[in-house]
Amino acid sequence: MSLEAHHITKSFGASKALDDVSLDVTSGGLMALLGPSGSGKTTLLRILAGLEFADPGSGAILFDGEDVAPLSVGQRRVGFVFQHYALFRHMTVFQNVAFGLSVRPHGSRPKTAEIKKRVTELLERVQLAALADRFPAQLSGGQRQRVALARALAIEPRVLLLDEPFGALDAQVRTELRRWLVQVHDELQVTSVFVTHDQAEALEVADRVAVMNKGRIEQVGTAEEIYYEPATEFVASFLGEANRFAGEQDATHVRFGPWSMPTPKTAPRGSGTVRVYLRPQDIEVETPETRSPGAVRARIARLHAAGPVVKLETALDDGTVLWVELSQRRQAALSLREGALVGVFPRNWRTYR
Amino acid sequence: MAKIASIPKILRAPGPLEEPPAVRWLLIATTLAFLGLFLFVPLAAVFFEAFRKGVGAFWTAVTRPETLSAVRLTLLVTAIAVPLNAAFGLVAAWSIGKFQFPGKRLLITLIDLPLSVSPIISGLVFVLVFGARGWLGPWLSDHEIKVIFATPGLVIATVFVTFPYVARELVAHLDEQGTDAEQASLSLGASGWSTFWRVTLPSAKWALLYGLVLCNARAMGEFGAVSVVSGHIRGETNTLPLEVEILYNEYDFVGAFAAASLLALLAVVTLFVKSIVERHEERLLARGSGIPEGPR
Repeated sequence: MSLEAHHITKSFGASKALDDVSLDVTSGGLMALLGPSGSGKTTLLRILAGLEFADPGSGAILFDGEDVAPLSVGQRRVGFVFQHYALFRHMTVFQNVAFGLSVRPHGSRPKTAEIKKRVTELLERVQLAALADRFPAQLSGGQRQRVALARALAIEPRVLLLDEPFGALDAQVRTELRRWLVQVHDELQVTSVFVTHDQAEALEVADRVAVMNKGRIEQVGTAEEIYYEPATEFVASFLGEANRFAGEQDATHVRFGPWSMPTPKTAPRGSGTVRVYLRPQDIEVETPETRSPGAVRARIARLHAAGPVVKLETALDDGTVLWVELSQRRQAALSLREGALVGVFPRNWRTYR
Repeated sequence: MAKIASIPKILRAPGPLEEPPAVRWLLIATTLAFLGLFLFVPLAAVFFEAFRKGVGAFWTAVTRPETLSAVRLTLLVTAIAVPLNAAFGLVAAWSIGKFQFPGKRLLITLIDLPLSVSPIISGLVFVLVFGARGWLGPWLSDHEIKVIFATPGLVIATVFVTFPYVARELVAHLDEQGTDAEQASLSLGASGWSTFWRVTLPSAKWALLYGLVLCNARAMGEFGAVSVVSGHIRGETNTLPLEVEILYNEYDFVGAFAAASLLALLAVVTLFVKSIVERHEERLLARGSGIPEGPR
C-alpha cells in the first residue's frame, strides 16, 4: 500500500501548520517525519490518518492511488499509535487489542473464537501474552506502547501511523522498542510513517526521513543522504552538530575562517556572503609538524574521550572555537592531550545562503 | 524491626516528613469531634426522637396516608429529576470536555449557577414563569396544564436545583481525560455511538456515579425551591422534607422525626448502593491480577 500526500495545506487561524506539503511513501516503506516541535509533523500525520482535515481544496491523500478524502478515520483502516498510548483504561490488555475487531458491524465481525485467536497471536508477537488480563494501569510504559501497537495492528491496517511512539519512554526502553519496531515492520511489511523529534531515532529506524520545518518539508531522503548531504541550512543545523562560519564565496573558492577552499558542487549559485557548515567529524587533525595543505594551527582546549568518538574543543589562533571529532584509534596515534597544539583542516564543507 | 511495625502508626516516632504525635492527635481529634458534633449527634437525635414513644408510635407516624404520599411523591420527583440530570449532565459534559467553542467558559459558569442562587429564588423564578400570573400562566391554564402547585412544578424546581451535580463531576473528569481514547476508538473503526457507549461512558462511570449520588441526595432533600412551588397541599404536593416541616410546626415531634428518619434512611440506602457498586467494580478489576485499580 503506497501512501501519497499532494500539496497539503493546513491553517489554524492565521498561521499555517502545513504549507503546500507533498509526501510519497513507497509500499512497505518506513518513513520518519523529523522536525522540531511546531514544525507540523504531527499535523501531517493526523491528516494522513483522517483525524484532522486539510484546508478545503488543498490537495489530496492517496492510498494506493485512491483518494481517501471521502473516508472517515475509521474507514481508512489506519493503525494509529498515540504518543501517550491512549489505551482504554477500563479494558484489559486483551480487550484493548480486541477492540477494533469487536466493534465491527455484525456482518464483518469475526467470530468470538476467531477474535480470540487473532488477539492471542498479536499478543505473542508483542511478547505480552502473559499479561492479557492486566489493565493498562498495571503495565510499564514500554508494555503499554506495545499494547497500543498490537491494538493498531489488530485491524490489519493499510498503513501504520505512529505519533512520537517512543517519546514518553526512558532511554533504554526506547532503544529496545526502536529495534523491535523495525523488526515488526520488516516482518509485516506494512507501510509505516512515524513522527519524531529525535534525529538518532529517525536515522536509525526509518528507511527514509522527511525533515520538516515551519510547516514545510525541507528534505526527503535516506538517513545517509539527510546526514551527509543536507539540502538546506535547516537540515544541516538540525541533524548532528556543525561548526558554523560566515563565508565569502565566488565561482571557484569559498573563504571562511582561516581557510580558502574550493566551492562545493552543491553550493548555491553566484558569489557573495554564505554560511559555511563544517561537521566535527569532517575535520582532519594532525600533528603540527605535518603541515598538510590548508592545515592551520589550533590548541586543544578540552578533550572528551568517553565513548566511541573523541570530541575536541579546539581554539584557532584568532580564538574561534572549532569542534572536532575523531576516532579513539586516531587519537591514540596522535597521543592528543589538553593544551597541545595540532594542525586542523576541513575535509568536507557545505555552504548555504 | 517486627516489633516496631506492629505498633500502631500514630504511636510511632514521626518520620522526617511527618508531624509530631501531638499535632497528629490534635488533627484527628478535631476531625472526629467536628463530625460527631455536626453529623453523628444530629443523626442519632433524629432516630432517638422518632422512636421516643416506641416502635408503635413510629409505625403509626410513618404509615399515615400523608406521610406515605409524601414518600411516594419524593421518590417520584427524584426518579424523574435524577435521570433527566444524568442525561443533561452527560450532554453538557461531553460538549464542554470534548469540543472547543466560543462561550465555553460562560457555559461552565452557568452550570454552577443553581449552586450559588438561593433555592427560594429558584422556586420564585418558576412561579414567575409558570404561575397563574406568570409569562406562560395564561397559556397553560387555557390548555388545563397545571405546573405550579402540582407535581410538574416540583419536578422542574428539583431538576433546576440539582442539575450541576452530575455535570460538574463529569466535566472535571472528561476535561482531565482529553480525547485521545475517543480518537483511538474512532481510528479503530468504531462509530461515534459505540465510542460513546464503549469508551467514554465506561471511563467516566465513577464520576457519573458520584454525580448521581450527590444529585440523588440533593433531589430527595431539596426544601427551599420545592417549598415555593409546592403550595403545601398535604397528600398531594407535599414532599417528604415539606411534610417534616409541617409536622414539626404542628408539634407532632414523633411524626416529624419519623418522617425525617425516613429521609435519613433514603440517604443511607443511596450511600450503601454506591459502595456496593464500587466494591463490585474493584473485585472485577482485581480479578485480572494482584494490583486492583483505584476507583478514580
